Amino acid sequence: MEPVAFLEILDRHGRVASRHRVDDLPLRIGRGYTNEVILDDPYVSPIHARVEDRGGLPVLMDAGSDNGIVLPGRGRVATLPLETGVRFRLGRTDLRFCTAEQRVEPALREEGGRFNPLALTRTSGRRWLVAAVAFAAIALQQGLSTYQRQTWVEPAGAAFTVAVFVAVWAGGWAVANRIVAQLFRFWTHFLWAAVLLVAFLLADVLFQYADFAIGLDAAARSLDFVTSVALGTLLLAGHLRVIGQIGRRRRLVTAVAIAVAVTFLVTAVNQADEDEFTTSLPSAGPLKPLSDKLLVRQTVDHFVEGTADLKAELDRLAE
Amino acid sequence: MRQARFWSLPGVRRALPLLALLGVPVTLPAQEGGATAAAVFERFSPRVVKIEIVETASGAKAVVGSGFFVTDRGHLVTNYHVVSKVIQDPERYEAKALEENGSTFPLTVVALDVVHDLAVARADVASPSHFALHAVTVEKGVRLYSLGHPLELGLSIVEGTYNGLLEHTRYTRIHFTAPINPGMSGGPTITADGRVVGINVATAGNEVSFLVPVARAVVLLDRALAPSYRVPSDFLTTVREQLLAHQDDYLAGLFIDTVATIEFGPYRVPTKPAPFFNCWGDATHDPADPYEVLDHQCSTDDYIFISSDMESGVVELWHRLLTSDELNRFRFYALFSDDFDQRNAWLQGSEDDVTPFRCDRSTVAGHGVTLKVQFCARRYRKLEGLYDAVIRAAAVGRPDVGLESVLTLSGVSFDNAQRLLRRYLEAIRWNR
Repeated sequence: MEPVAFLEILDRHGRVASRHRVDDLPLRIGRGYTNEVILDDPYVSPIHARVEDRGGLPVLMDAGSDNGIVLPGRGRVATLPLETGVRFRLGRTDLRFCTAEQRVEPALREEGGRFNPLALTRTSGRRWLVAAVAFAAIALQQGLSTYQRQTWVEPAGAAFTVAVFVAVWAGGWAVANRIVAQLFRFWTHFLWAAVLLVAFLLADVLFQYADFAIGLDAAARSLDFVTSVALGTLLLAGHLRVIGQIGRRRRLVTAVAIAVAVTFLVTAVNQADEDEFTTSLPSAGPLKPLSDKLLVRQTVDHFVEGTADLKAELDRLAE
Repeated sequence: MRQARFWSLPGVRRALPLLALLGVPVTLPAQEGGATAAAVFERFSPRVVKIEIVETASGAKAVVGSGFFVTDRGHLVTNYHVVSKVIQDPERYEAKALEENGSTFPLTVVALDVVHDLAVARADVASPSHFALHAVTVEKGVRLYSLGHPLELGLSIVEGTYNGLLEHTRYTRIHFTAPINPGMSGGPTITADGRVVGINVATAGNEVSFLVPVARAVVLLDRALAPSYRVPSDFLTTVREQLLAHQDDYLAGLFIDTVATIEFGPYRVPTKPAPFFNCWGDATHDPADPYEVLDHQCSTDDYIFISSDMESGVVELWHRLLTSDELNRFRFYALFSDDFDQRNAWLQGSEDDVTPFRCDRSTVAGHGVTLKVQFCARRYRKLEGLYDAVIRAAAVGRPDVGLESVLTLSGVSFDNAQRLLRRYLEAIRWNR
């Protein structure tokens, strides 16, 4: 047999939970303390199985256990030659046998650069600064979009409500983080979500100003779609990066796929609403406090002449 | 089941002094003596029928109204809106008349005046007796009697008072003070000695009712009885042609030459485009709001029945000035933007009647003003060439004052909509 081999105990996701070096055979596996490999699984017998050397090949043999050796897809077996990479189950514990030839995935590279949510919480001072700036921005946006009399309380209250929603969202990610990577990282998820929310609001404001100034019209829908997908991807990819269990490529693919699916669904629902017959007018578009010198303007005549296309469209619709 | 209905017209009206109508007027004294409603009913009720519009497949009544004999050859006068389903969907509906004595006979529509909401129908029977139609003039305060089938409760007579002609309508309507109810549409309103004064057509509730002056029915009947008259094979074309001619005539004088304008804050805006517009306005400042609102509005009242879901013919213009010393420019534009977007069209209609709105929007350089303009239109599905159009304009670029303006046109040609769009935008000006 090979000089060095390992018995790996796997978790329910198939990842290695612990590893036992196999130097000498025979080797006993069970729940009792006399075994070389002890499995803390109530479905494993005190002496469950043993590995013996059969002509240079290690073979796993049932040692009169209650639940036996189970091969995925084949059921219970009495003996199992252990080739490298073979997976089997004792009781409810998954194990894998491998030798030093077993290939491993390349290491995940530590990524620096932009869009790193972990940078948000690198120091305690930065953490508070980011939170303060994000929620001040949200409070400001709320305060400037209402026209009833207000004190500082209303925008602050609105920002607090938003903070609660962000906290719930971040809490979900933190729990996932804890399950997958044994780290909670609530603050990082929270700040990342808050920063992205501010980015969403900012994109919306820019979008409205652009629409007001130059009239986005036909481009509006695709621009909206692209922005939503881009920011959605950034949000999801950031959370996944904080969790840190999958590589950059897979992370991006996952994030883009979810962002596209969600945006597409929302767009489709909105489109269905728009297609329903209604006697009310579509929105006239936002009005913004820009100097009229910044606006793309046309003459009355030019505008009126352009409406001829509407007539053709309506006549088509009426057929 | 649906009954033929009246439309309610908004606003409080003053009665006009008596006006001469077409034909040879017969003036009646204000005090009638002797005749009671009972005698009028006894004498004239056989000339009035109930009209039912029935869905042929199910036999169910779709509309119930009234009508009355006007010749000895079975000609009846009623409202267009009573028989409109037969015109719009002749495959699906048919009209029949029911006399007080229980006899029923089918009706054929022979002539229409959609603008005045009148129709002449013919039954293939000899009329038991009939009203001879002549133009009449009546003094205000004369007692009149309205006959018809209110709410399917049987032929009824309602006594009321003649109160002159409506002031702010291009097409004359009589203001009659009496509780006319749905189902009486198309029935006659007569003097005690049996002269038809008008045809029941609409109510605004609270005993404020409206009649089409008999002179319009005289014109329509004369046309239908002329030897050269041929009954159209497709009445929808007739409806369409009448509406197109009507709107050309109705809109011809609007916003041409010198446009009447008023000073509206720092702007000048168009007002009362023609005598048949009624204008009103108000300034409101709720102390709880950090802004002030000034409104000005002009509207016509010449409603034209298109279908049970839709009226047409009305032109309305509306201006609002928003000002604030208190709000910063961002918050002021949050108000301006929201308020402008809420200026929605009041135009009704079902998917059978009209297409959805389609709009163009742009920023337009006007006379000293920069206008955000949205022009929306929809087409009448069965009436080619007729559209509703709404023009929404907001004067932007100033941090503490905003002007919103909406022009609503219903039942107009696209050319007219474009022409009025141009005129209207040119009439909004900076006044300083």
